[in-house]
Amino acid sequence: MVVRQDNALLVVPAYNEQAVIGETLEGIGCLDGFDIVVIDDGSTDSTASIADSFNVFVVSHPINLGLGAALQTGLEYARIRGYESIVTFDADGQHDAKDIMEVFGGLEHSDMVIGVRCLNRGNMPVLKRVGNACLNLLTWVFFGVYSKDSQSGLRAFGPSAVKSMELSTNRYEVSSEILFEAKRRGLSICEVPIKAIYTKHSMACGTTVLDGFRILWRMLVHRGK
Amino acid sequence: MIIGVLGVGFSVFALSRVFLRFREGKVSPAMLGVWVIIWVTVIAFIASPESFSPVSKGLGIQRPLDFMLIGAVVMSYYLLFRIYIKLEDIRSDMAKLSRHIALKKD
Repeated sequence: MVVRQDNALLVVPAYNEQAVIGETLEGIGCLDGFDIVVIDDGSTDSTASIADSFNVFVVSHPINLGLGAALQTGLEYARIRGYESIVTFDADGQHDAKDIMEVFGGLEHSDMVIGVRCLNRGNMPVLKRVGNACLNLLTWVFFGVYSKDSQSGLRAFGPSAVKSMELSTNRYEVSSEILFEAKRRGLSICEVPIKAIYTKHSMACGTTVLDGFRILWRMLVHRGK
Repeated sequence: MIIGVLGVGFSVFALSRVFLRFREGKVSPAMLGVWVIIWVTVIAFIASPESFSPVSKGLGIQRPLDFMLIGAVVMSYYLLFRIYIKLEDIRSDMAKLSRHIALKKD
């Protein structure tokens, strides 16, 4: 399947990322062909105004809703504007812009691609590694889909995924829901290795142990509904 | 005896509130039925606890009072879960509204 890069949208969900959003957008701005939309999730700092100074679209939530809600807005934006495929990219600076093409390239043979943070796994703090492994396991238990990095923020969605996916969770648990939704819709998933950059800032922004319990609770509620 | 009178009094008061909400259209007929069953059971239990013995013994619980307490705890947790789900639904509606506003502004 040929997926056109000039009809792809890069979705960058951001919440209070004024310290790194400029650097992140500079990094991905050099990629030709992609349109970029920053979903400002009700930031109280100058994230939106910094993003506005770049050649990107900015959509601002009036209040903070969470990562899941921001991704849903990105998906909706892509549908309204007629984009065929999307790539999601965290604003906290933990991804390498060079990996975007790797992840996007996976759409040639899959409906959805997950960027698995494993190239420099040694740099990943032990607590994060254990937390990720637990969430991968829980995603498998609750949703029946196993991914080596269910919580990765660098993903690509091909035309079938963009058209059919209906997400309902608003916070971090969306990462697990995406996999469940792909399974429910019969979409093919592939994983490609990517690099993760662990800075003080990206470490502070990622999921904490408490978030892990929240994700577990919300998965339970989602399954119990 | 006093605790029994207080219990029946509170149950009647709770029932009257449910009927009032039903008249205002804030409680559905199904929910009215559920609440009437709950409060009438409480009144019946206070009036004649021993009449619940066959039910509690059938479930392997010796004292009817234990049966009522276990039932009340289970019911409370279930109601808490339902309220949590309702809250989640409200949060989801709020997200949809915010998304609509954000995309309209763009």
